Amino acid sequence: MSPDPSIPCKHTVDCRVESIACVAVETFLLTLRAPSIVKAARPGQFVNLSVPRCGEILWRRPFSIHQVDNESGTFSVLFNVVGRGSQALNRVQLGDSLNCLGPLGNRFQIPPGTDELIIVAGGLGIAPFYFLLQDWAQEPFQKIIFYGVASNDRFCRLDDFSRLCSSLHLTTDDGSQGEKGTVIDSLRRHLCIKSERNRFLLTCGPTSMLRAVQRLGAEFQLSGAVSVENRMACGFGACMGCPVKLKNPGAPHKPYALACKDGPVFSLTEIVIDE
Amino acid sequence: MNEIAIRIGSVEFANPIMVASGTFGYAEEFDGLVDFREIGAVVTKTVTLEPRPGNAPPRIYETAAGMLNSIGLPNVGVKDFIDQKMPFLRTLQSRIVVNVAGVTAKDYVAVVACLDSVPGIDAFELNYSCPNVKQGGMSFSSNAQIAEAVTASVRKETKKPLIAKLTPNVTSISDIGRAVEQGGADALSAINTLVGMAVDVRTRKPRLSTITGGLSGPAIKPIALAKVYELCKSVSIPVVAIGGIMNLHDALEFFMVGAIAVQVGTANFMNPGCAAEITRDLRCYCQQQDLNLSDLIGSLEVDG
Repeated sequence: MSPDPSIPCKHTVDCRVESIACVAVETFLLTLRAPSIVKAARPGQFVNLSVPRCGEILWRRPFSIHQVDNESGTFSVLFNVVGRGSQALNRVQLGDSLNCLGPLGNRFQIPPGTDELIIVAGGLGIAPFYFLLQDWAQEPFQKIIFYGVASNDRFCRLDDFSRLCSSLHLTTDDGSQGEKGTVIDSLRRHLCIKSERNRFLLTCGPTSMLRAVQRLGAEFQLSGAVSVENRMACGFGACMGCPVKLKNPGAPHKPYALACKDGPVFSLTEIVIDE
Repeated sequence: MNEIAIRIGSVEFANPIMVASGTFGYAEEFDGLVDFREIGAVVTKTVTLEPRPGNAPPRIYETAAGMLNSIGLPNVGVKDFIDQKMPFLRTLQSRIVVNVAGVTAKDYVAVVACLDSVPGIDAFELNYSCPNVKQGGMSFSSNAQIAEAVTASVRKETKKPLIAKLTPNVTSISDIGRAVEQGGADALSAINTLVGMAVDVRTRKPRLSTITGGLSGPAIKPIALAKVYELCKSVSIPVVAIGGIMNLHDALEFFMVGAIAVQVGTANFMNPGCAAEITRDLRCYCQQQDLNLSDLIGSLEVDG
């Protein structure tokens, strides 16, 4: 589907809060009505939401587009209540209006010929992959998810994810559900099984996990992409506050890309993932 | 018709609402997000003679009603600015003010010399005040003699209006203001960011890679108002106010203390349409009150 040229790539729009639901410990699914965002959005992109009624909070907050529903013109974001912004967001009521800037950033792209898509998600890093799997539901290739969290009360929407993928491998740090340990151990075992399939890795989550996926990708000579998170003041390339270090910069004076504009999706081999 | 146009040097600006350097990229980033026709002037991201990579991350941190930044003036350099950034800027109906910085006085002169004959540039803003660049920068704005000398050297390169952007991180901003006026500046803009800092208590590390950075946003507005008020009383050239302006009310405060124009900065990040909204609101306000902008400028009433 090519984007509708009548819809601007990025715009600001007031969205009505359609629902807010607790889907795991300290984790909420916020659904907003914004047909123009839904129409323009592609998997991997994000929105920057204004946090309501709090003068002290200045910036918008960036969220991966987690799910879209074309029929109702709504989209959802998944967030953890961790700081001032998400606490304020958690206080929104049905019917409230939030200003949304988006869709922002680039998108996931899966190379032609891929016949096994491997998604590696840690914690809330699962967020962008629901939209991706929705969008790629008809694609015939295998979709394998490795999803790790600290403990089982932090898994989000397992039933929904299992419907959208070929297999779902769960890990928890404390062993309360799935395998005890990290997604990396589980992923490594999978990669050790020889396969004729063209595998492609997609990953999002904590920095330490992203680094480990990057290393595994190199070890098994797999290509892939990583979706990064970063503090952002604007989300569209103006503040230049979200640099991501490039492994092989095109020019010495351009050692950084911007997470908001050049990303958030980067090739797994393209960027330096710092601790 | 209530008049809101202003003049700096030989150039007329259709309205007094500008966007501040470093908060509006090279304007192209805002395409589709703002009505450029309502912006009196776009002040570009700083341009230097050679390209600059900018500072290492983390570069920004949100604070109470404000933000810290240490971006470090990343830019494509004057040559690529002309080739890659000017074509879009030239299509805008806003006035284009190019913000210029250098490590040495010669750099400022060289950049302005390169740009002076480039079509579409209406004025220059001399960035004497970036707190996040290790060499130079600050010394131009914290030493009155140097600031005057640099301004005078640049003055020889161009007939276009020169706006000198000043730092608040000095003992007496009016000393510097008077010096650059002497050096031939057509206007002053103030204030740039205040040096600030934040610490991550968990890791005991500073929140910015450069340890300190520049504080901007509504948190600095009262300081900006006091500095602009002081400058307006000290110099006879116009003062363009910068510092935490989020809406018409904020802009009116600056006009009342004597500013001829304002620059919207940090607000552009959260509300990319902010400057255009303020222009529309100002027009409405002047109409409702049946005032010209000139009736507002310096209209502060001080008892006694």
